[in-house]
Amino acid sequence: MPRDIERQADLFALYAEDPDRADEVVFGRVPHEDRRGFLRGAGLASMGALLGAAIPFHRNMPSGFIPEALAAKPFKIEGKDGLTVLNDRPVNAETPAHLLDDAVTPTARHFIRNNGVPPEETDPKTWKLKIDGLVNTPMDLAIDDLKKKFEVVTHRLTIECGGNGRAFFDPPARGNQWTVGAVACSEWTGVRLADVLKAAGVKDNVVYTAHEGADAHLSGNPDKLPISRGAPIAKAMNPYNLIAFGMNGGGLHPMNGAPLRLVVPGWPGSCSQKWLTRVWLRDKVHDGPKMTGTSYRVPNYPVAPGQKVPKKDFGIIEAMPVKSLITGPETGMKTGERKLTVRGHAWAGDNAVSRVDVSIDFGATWTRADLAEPHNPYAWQRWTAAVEFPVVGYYEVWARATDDAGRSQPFAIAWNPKGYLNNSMHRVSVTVA
Amino acid sequence: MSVGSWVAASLGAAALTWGWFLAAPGAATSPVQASEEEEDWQGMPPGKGREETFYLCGACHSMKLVTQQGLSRERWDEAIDWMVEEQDMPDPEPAERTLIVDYLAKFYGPDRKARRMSKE
Repeated sequence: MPRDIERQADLFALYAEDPDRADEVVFGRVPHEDRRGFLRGAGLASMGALLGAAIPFHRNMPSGFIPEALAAKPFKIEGKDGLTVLNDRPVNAETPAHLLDDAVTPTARHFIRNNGVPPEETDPKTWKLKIDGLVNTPMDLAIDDLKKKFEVVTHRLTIECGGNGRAFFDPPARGNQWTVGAVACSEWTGVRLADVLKAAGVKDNVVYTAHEGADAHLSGNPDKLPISRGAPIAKAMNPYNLIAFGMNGGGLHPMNGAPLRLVVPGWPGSCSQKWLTRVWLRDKVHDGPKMTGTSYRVPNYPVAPGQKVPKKDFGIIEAMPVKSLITGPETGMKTGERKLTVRGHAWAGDNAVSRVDVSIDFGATWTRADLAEPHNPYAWQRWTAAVEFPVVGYYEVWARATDDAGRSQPFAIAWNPKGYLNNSMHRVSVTVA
Repeated sequence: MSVGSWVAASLGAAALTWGWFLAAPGAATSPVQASEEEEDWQGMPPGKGREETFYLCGACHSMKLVTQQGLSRERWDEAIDWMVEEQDMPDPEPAERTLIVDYLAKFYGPDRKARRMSKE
């Protein structure tokens, strides 16, 4: 078996199979004869290093015992916390809904959607961004140039993967099986894409932008880009699109595009090119990898689940649809209380959310939630609702957002062949005892 | 920090994809060797075509991308086309392709409902 195939065995599975052997393999640990402690200290240092602290009572620690601090996260991506890993090569990881409760998504909880292999060299001092194509003055810009020449702004911006919710499609659609957590609203710092394009001089015949990044294709072919998408020039000139070098007051996380990326909020996350090296302007719709075929496209008309749709009938996804997430309580909650405050976020592509309603009786009746204004356009909006359960039993809490154009989230999925744009209502279960 | 040094740092300090452990030099001779065979298939059940599928698909991406799916034989066949046409995958010989598509359709067909990542 090739050694380069990464195995991602589950820590639990290994410990379940043979805890003592797992101890030895993971930590090099050999216990004392009483099956406690670390014989001659074997494995103690590595376990301590892993935990980030010494273990004062190590002599008492039973063998074959996963430290709780590790057990909670069997697969760890440095700088990320609590994410569910869908794929490790390329890395794709989403965040469970209850870990997305913060108004501003912490860097550690921002989902990861990689199409290729992230670059090795990501020094912000030497990073270069090229602006070319149909511009009056092509530019090569260092990150310091961006900071010096253009106004630096900070916004909270919602990014959602176009395939978020694909896991619920029936028949299943091909691709990463995202449930609900490929969405985040972090605070991004950078310069406006529009300001940079204006400085370069957008020619009259420009139709579309084309974005390129420094990530490598999975096949290893150096001439192939893993992904290169773009946006119509009108969308590109929206003042909330950023060329971002800051995330939540720090640098970008390596898996979220460090040191430089686009943030094109409200549209599929794939428009927000990571490890950004080039924006070029074109006089036709960009035809880079994952712009064509059926990638990030849906049929131009409603289709039956499983229906075959000719390629010519697909259109490029633009704004993401209205959607909401219940971030509290966590699904599966058991409670002795009859009263509960339910909370979450709602967002709506290029629009704002105008109301959120909550149901605890499978949609028969609805309670209007309190809904906050967005911190800025394209930031998700906090909602809260107080509900009261009439008797003990099993409940589902549903949330339904409506945007300012009067469009609400559906109960059922508008099925499409590639599994995009699932904005059906989020549901969590609550058992009242 | 480059991604490379960042990965290295995460290995040295806190941690860890399990694969890195098993791939580490010291681990190769560890007593876990015997059970590695099963783990190497990344959860793919035994069956005709498993090895061919593993090597074709696993050359570029983790098998997790495969084992998440639930597609009909026809859709798997289309997926192979897409990988060849768009993603530089070598075109498998017809006999090999049949083996692979049969394996995928048998174990990762549309009736497979347990695709969602389990929290348990």
